[in-house]
Amino acid sequence: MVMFWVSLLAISILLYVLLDGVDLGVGLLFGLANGEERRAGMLSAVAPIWDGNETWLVITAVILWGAFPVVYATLLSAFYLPLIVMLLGLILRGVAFEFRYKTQRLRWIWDLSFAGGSLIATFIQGMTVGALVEGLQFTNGQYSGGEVGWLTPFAVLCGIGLCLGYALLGACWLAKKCEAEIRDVAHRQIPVLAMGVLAFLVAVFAYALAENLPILERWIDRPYLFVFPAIGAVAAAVLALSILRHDDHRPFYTVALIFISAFGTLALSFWPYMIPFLITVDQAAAPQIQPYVHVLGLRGDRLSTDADLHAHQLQGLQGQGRNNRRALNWHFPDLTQVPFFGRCRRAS
Amino acid sequence: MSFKHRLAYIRPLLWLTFLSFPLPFIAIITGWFTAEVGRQPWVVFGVLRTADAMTPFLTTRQATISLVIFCSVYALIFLFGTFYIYRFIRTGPRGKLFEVPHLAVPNRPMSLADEGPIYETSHVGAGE
Repeated sequence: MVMFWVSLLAISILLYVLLDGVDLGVGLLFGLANGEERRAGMLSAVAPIWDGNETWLVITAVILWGAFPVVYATLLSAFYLPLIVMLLGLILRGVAFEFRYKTQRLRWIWDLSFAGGSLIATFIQGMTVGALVEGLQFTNGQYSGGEVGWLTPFAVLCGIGLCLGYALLGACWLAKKCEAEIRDVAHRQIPVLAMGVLAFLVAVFAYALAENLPILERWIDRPYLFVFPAIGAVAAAVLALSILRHDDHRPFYTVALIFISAFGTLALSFWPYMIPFLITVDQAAAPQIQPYVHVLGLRGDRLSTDADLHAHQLQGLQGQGRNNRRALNWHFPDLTQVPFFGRCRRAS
Repeated sequence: MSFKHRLAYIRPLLWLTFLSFPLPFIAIITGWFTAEVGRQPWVVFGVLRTADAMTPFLTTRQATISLVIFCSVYALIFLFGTFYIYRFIRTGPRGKLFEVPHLAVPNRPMSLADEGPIYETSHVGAGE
């Protein structure tokens, strides 16, 4: 049951990144475009789909809230101000779709709020992930990093990196969906943005080496994890080929594949942790969704006494529990036994 | 003329319709107030008190900042929204009265006011 909710969470985050990444990226490029015809065309390329794409963020939040309340409470409280500002960015860009055509004199306000809102939302999403990867400061399981504890050079770098990544995704969408000038401009932007994303990935890797982030040791220890980066590298090569051929459709699919492999890389780097090196998937799961896991003893240090009571009631199900454990191990060899590495800021 | 068509020419009814445009907003906001204020001191009625639901490390300053930026963005959008609705009503119906504009879609109510293709910029009426 925990694996079911983890999978659902992973799928909804991935779909959000891929789908809203497209229209946030178009929003970023919209800020660079001039001329009413181009701007209106770019807006039309995402107008029918943007609100559906954004709904995956709501689904992600609801899964976290219902199935992993500890993570929901910890992360949303730790990132209180940036996430509020991100929501305001999303509100401003959403309302721009409606209000832009209601005025001519003041259209610049809504153009600014569309591009600016996209920029704010994208930057904060990247920054949040960066701060999470680098590690937040916790004391007794509670965030103790202060109001701006998430603001680090690495987090800012990740914010810029995601802006480049979403813009690349958006440019590929425009090349696929639009014609004439918008498509030509997008074709010129794709190689520049792709190089930018590549430079960002190199910078992240260099930073991880220099800072010796805990995840790096996990990678060196388990080279088979390199399957996702390998898929990403192949996709990047296909992307380079399709750029040379001025292909309209292939860049979008290869960039989507690069995003999927980056997402898989990130998820595997931290598995089974949901909040890196503080809370694992099983510790985070709400008692309602994990009838067997307590019995298995997969939980290290327990967070909730309610959950323990629940476990006692379910001891009769131990046999089933063992099967369940075997299933878990079959899908994820060794990973649940990954030792506790490196720089953990938890003070116990 | 059928009853449905005659209905659109009854002046008192038109005035009533015109004056009732703020009602949905009042209904939504007062309904929200009723739910939020009426539930106090509970955040989940009978289960969790608001005081116990608070994030322990959330500072007053953070809460104030978030409230201020929320209010200002909301005020900006509400101000422009009210202005656009007012102008839309003042301009009155154009074209054929009983035809839905071809660009109107149910998930964008304001699209009822759109005319012509989306890149056409000349449809903004009075007030400009």
